[in-house]
Amino acid sequence: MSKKLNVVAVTGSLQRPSRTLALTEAILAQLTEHIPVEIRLIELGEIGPSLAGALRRDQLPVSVAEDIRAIETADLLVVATPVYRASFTGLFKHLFDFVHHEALTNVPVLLAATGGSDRHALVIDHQLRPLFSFFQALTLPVGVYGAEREFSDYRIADDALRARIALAVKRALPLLSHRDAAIPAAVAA
Amino acid sequence: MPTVVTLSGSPSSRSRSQGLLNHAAGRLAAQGIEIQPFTLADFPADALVFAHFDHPAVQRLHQAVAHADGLVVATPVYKAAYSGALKLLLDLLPERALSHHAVLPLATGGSNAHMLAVDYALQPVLAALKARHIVGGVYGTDQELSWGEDGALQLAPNIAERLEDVLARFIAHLPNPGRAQLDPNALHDRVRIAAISV
Repeated sequence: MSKKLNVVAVTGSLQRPSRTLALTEAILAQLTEHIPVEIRLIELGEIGPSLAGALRRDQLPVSVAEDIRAIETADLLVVATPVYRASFTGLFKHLFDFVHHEALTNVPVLLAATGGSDRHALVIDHQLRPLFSFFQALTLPVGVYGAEREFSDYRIADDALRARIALAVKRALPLLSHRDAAIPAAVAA
Repeated sequence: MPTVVTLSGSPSSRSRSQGLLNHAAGRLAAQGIEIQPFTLADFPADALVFAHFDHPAVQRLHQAVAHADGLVVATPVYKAAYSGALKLLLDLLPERALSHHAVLPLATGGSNAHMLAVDYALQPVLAALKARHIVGGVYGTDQELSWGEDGALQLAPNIAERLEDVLARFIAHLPNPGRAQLDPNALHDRVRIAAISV
């Protein structure tokens, strides 16, 4: 793959430092080791105040509208959310409620989440995966869940978590391609 | 006297989920609740696989559920979901079979990472059977449920305490609770301090 892959990452963290941001950055770093990528990182903590106040797309500030456009045209989405009430955050869902329902067809999505304990690990498969299944996106087979004990000072501090990140990226690589080659023009338009 | 049907979703008789179910059934029976247990072994394979509603064993299950006030289901977590064995039993029930029942789910798994299988895999099936009320269940890991030298299942203190709480809540939700109460004062205190909700 000579042309850079257009990767858009959405991290649901609402503050810095953040374990969710650390997990997102670790996934992106792992990707960068294998393929040439162009990365746009969207932090919900940054766009949250203007995003939460908007109910229609025309109420969004230009910068947030551009973020959504970026999501809709990405070659690969990396999405990560902290676990609230055994699911993704409300703001995370609010962002994807603005994304056109046909814009993510066949787009690979790497799912990630962070939570206080192992007990919420299945949010990947029972909450995040169905959301992107609605979009008919290509949810990648291995998602990454990080528990609080696997971080230290908001950095990844656990080899098992590092191994899961490496595995998720390794399994994703054969499924990645440029959108214009894989998606009919009607969707990209 | 209230009646509760138990469904065991474990394919083996010596299993943690079966042990947890036995423990719960024993606690309910001690409160004067009649327990009618069903397991896979109660049904011939043909009746299970083809859901022969006219088979006498299936008829017995239908009668028991129709006249019961509550249902306790127990399953090991397999492949991040309920067991096929439990689903075979649930598939024997007619539509809306649980519309008058309080239902208590119990599950066991190898690690905490599969706890949400109760909320996101098992509960939707119970909801599809129109369970009147699904009481928040108990999930125990292999570390929390161990076998004693006498062959009985030992519950870690946190699991035993949680089971007592949910059984009290389950009894409170039985459509015909009769005189069965674990300890009304203790239950009242827990409700008052919002440690549990009923």
